[in-house]
Amino acid sequence: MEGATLVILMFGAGNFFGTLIGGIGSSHIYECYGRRYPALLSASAAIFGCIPFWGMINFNFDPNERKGIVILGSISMLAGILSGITGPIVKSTLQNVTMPQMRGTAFALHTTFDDLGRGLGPAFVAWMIEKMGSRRRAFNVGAGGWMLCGLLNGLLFCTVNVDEERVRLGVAQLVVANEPNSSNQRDIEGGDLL
Amino acid sequence: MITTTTASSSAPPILPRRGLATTLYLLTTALLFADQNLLAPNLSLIADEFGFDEFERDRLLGGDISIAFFMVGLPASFVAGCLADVVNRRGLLFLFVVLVGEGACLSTYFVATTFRRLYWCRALTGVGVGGALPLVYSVLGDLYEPRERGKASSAIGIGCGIGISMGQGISGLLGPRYGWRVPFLAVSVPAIACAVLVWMCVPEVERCGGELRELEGGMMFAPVAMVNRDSGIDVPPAMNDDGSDDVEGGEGREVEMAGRIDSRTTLVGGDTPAQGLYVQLNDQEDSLRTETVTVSSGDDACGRLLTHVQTLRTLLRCPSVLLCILQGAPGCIPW
Repeated sequence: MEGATLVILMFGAGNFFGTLIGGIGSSHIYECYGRRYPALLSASAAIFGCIPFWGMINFNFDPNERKGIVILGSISMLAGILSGITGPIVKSTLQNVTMPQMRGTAFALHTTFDDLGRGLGPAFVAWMIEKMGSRRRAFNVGAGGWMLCGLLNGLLFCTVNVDEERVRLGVAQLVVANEPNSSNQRDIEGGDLL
Repeated sequence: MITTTTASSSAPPILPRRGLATTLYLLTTALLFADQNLLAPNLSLIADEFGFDEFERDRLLGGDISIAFFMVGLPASFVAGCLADVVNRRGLLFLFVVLVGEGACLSTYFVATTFRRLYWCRALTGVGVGGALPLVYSVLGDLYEPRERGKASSAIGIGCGIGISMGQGISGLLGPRYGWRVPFLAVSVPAIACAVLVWMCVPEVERCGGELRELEGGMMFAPVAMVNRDSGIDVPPAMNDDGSDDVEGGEGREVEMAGRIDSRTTLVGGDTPAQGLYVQLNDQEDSLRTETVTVSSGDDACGRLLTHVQTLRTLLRCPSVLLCILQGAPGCIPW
């Protein structure tokens, strides 16, 4: 019980720092190196996050040994840090590659897939436990989800430049289309939506 | 009668109360997430009151209610996200979403005397949690330039995490002393108050604000004057103040100098969310279909499901959007 509490606490603390690193780091990298490189940070964090996670799953914790507590706490903090980096980078990238008039829908889709993973994840792992006959093996396979997540994030390196440029051009076009003497500006009859 | 809000030719100034807006949205989101885990620390108390045994406690309180919470949150997230794209007054929409969700959370204190009532109160609370995030990110995208959005997103992420921990702490602290219903009151009232403050104190955020500020502030290339469907769009290279080519890192310069997207790419805009949804097209076939743009009339933009379907199609055809969305499912399994 003490070990489980420690893992969760340290993982949560690590996740806090990871989210901070992800947000500040991605803004810094975006400004200094260009818009493609934050994707590399999120991809590598997700992929390397599997390693401490596997360490946590396979570590044989002895509650009587102080050294074991320190090692387990450190591993779970590292896993938390690496797992927290990806989130803000993905969300800021999604904002950058979508037109402002589509962001709500885009984030609705993003939330849907996140919830799918969160909701179906336990069911998937439970199914694997049944098939493999071992919880440890099933959890090891489940942790590999971050590997796939990291690969998909890495592919953003190849696509984000063009897609962000499209958004900029699209906004620039809107600016021109909505010049004060443009015929697009008009009053709309009818009730307000809210 | 409403006057459409249009993207102005000059960048809107940084909202004077951008910090206040961000703080209020952040606080409200944290309080919304605080009510996710209000039941967990007091499951045994609730089970005792309703006369559940251990098995029923885990299945009904731990399982069924959680499923209902997320099953209602999912469509709410979708509806709120789509409405955020067409509604001008997003602050008011945010207040509405929070009132529905946190109103149900508040009602838990007064009406949840049976399991069925508790079940439906929790299910409706999911509306607030699910519906708020797409709205918040939509607003933050217009408050911040692209290079600043990482920080803003991490602030929201940290707020959600703190909210979840705070909710669990409040429930664990107050529940055993004052009853398991009091935490619902303690969390929902401040959340509603913050949402009211957002509506009253935060001016409506103009769409495209982030991109326009970046266009004027850092990248001095001229806006595209015409959409040329046949030959594509030529973007002059970005220029610095001294007339030299702008360098936005190595990559930025390459894109700016290349400038030309594939000749079959066409971008066409409707001017406001109310008038029609902006449809961003990817490469078209050689036949250059001319009817692929959807700009629906203002008074039925919401009612026409087709425009939202078009938006979904457009989003899913963008590689980066697809990758951002797909990475979520495998990424959340370890959680």
